[in-house]
Amino acid sequence: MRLPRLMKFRLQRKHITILLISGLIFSVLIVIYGAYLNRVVRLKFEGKRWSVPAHVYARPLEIFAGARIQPAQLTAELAMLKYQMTGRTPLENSGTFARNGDEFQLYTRTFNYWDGEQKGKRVRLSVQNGIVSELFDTAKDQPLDLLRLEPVMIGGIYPSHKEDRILVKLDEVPKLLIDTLVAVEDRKFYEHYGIVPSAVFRAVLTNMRARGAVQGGSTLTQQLVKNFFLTNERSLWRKFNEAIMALELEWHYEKNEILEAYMNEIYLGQDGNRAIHGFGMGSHFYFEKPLSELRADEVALLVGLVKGPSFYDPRRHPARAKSRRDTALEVMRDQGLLDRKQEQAARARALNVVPQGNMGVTPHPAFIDLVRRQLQRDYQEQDLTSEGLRIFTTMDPVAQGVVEKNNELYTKNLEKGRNLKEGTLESAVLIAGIENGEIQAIVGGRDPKFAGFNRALDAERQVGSLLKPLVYLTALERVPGFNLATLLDDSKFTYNVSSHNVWEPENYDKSYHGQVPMFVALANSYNIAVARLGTSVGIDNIVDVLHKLGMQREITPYPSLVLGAQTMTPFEVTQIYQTLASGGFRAPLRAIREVTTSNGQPLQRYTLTVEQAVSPTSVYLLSRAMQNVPRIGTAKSLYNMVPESLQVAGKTGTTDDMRDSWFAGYTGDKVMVTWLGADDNRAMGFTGASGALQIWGRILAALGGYPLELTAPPDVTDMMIDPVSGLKGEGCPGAVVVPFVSGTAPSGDAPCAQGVLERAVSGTVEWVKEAIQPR
Amino acid sequence: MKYYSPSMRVVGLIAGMAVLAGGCASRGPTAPIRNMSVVPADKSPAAPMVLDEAALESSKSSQQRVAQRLLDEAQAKLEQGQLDAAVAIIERSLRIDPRNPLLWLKFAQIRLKQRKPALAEQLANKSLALAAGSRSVVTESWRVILEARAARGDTGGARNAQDTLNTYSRAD
Repeated sequence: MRLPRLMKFRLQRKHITILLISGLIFSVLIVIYGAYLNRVVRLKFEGKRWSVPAHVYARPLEIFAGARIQPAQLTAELAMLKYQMTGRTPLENSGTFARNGDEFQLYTRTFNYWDGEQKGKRVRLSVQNGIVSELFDTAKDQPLDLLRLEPVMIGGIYPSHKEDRILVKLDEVPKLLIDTLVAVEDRKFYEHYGIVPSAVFRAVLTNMRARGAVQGGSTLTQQLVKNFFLTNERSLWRKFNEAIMALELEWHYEKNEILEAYMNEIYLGQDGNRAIHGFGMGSHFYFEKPLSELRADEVALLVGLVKGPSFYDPRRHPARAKSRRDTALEVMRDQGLLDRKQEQAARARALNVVPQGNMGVTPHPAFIDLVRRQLQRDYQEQDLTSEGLRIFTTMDPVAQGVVEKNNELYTKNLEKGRNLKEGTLESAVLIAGIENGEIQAIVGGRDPKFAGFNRALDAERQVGSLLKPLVYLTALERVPGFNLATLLDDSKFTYNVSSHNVWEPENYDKSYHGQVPMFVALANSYNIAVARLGTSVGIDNIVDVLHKLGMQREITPYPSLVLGAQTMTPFEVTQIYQTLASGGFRAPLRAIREVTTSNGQPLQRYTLTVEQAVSPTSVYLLSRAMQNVPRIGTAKSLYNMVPESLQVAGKTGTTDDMRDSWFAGYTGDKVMVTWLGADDNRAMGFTGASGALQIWGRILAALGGYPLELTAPPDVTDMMIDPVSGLKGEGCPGAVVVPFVSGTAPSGDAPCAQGVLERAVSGTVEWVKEAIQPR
Repeated sequence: MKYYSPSMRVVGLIAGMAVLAGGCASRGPTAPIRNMSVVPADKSPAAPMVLDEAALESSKSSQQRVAQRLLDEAQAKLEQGQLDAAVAIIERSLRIDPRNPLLWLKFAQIRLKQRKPALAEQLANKSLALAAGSRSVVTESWRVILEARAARGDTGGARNAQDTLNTYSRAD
């Protein structure tokens, strides 16, 4: 039996070696892992502690002789730039102006653009007939060809944070709040090294007994770490990671630095999909006042909320919140922060929370929201954390103002006109430049200051007839000979989706229109004609076109897609219509032009790109057809609001039971989309024309614009067409000029056309008969 | 400060109306379906939100003038090899005159210099679409397309572009 014993001994030695080696490996791994966690948590901490917000600018106004501008728009811009009006000329200081009727004198400020500094200039300019008639450099005594007015600052944001913040410095935080926080959440804060081992041990024990539910024992440092990586996961492993990172934070930073970060980071509530972080924001969200003005009872409530912002939500669970607040008040008295009388007085107070917590801290929350998202998407996180960034956006502050004002006013008017319950009708508007896709204005709801649900970007709604143009575009692209006068069959139509699913679309007016030329069917938004056409060109092909035009999400190719049984956001619709407006060249919609560091160094740029999505000829024909929608079709009332010379191309959209009302369209310089409906998707009773179009038209009337003058491709010619027969119709009542690619125009004359009668009399009756029978 | 006398305003108004009348008479084949209507009478003539035709024409030609100045600046930067600066200037010019094919063409040429042939080809497609019969823009755009395709190794595509260019030079 010696041999086995020897073996046993050897095995034991081997065991020890293995144990030693694995212990070594384990320690190395621990060290590496610790170093990794260290890096992660320091990056987070450094990224979040800057308290200088990035400055966000609107587009700079370009002024030149011939530029389109109204004196009122110029004065509005100067007011936003805080220019002082003065009667004394020549002007002595930059940032001043003088006005005499339509003549202005300006002394601009020196400004550092992404492409270098532009010195302040003294200029004189005159506005006549809606355009700048003269621009003159008075210091140099010579005409000036181009002046860039410094951009309006539209807000300050913290780009590395996903939400609005009001960051506070520790010395701005009332001592009572700091003391209360420490007293309630972590009394040993100034003594421990990030964790309290006995508390951790207790938590582990409780955890083992409760199997899984980790609880309590967190220091402020641990809570801060937890807030950096907010997830719902509650595991022992996470707890372990948090503890390591808390120790590391304490190693690197002072208590006060950690406390300041905590003050700005702690999660305090939820406003729709907007998270409320930090006491500065929390104070604004619950009490609409700055931290420095909080009373003892309000301090107690905010600190009490730390434990569970949703469970103790003072708006939804006031009783719970009050009892939590009173517990905090008790702690405050116990710790000597309040005397008995003060505590009693504070207890006696009601919760005092403001009713609605949706006011943003930036003046144009919907636009800033998009800026924030595109920053996160397009720029490196470490670039965004450097201090004093300057973000140059595409916003046209004058257009944004016009959109905010008109959208709010006319949404209210429409709601009142229908006797709808006040505050139920919601709306969203986007405007973008046609060729470059730059977003000029956005509102995400009727209240332009509302910082919650951004309908412009996030409301996925059925689009109704807005997709019809795409069906016709698909036919123009794929069906040889298909043209704007092609006769479509608008009679009863049934389609077998599957063996027991039959689709039978109806027209809005519940009638059939027989054979109609394509441009008439589009202008009047006939459903059956387009349904029949759509199923014959192939739903997959239409989906393909939709993706090419810029729709990024997946789409299920149901036949009802052609009638708009597809949800899209107003932003997505704007992208599709931008591609149509620019002759088939998709330019990704963007809100940011440049981002520079504090010393003017541009960060990585994402510049203008275009991509040809469909053939320019097909899009040209479609745009010409869409110009008939306001002229002879469903959007006729547009020209009660704006002059017909603008030649708008657009489309109304109405969904089942009138739940959604849309208008999407473009002039020569901008594409605009308006949506109207209720958040709970109930029927509001507006068609595209009676709702969204009214707001669209009012905004355009206030903004003005360039006419949509389309450049005809070389092989396209115009012809007068009879809207009844779709044949050549010179002299026919209601005849419309229709463009054709050469070789596709109808050869026959309509019965009403000039000269047809004479020819009939002279014996060409057979020829005419043939002509009026289309197939 | 300088003032405009009432008589000067009248002269301006008459001149404007004359140009307007002329403009209406000379509409090309791509003209809209109906006659251009001027701003309705109920809108204040002092601040028309939609330009009349004379103002529109003058505005367009000034846009072109300013765009040309920026185009020259971009060209200078291009020659100095400052390609990012050239891009910034050409983007600025496109905000002022967005449908000017010369600007899109220059943009395409800069992208080609930056070795971004895919972007260059798309921009050249855009200048082609806006060329409106301008022979030089068309041929220059095709030249960019040819070089972009060659740079991408698309020999078949490059050959097609060369064929198209040849048809233009044969037509000369």
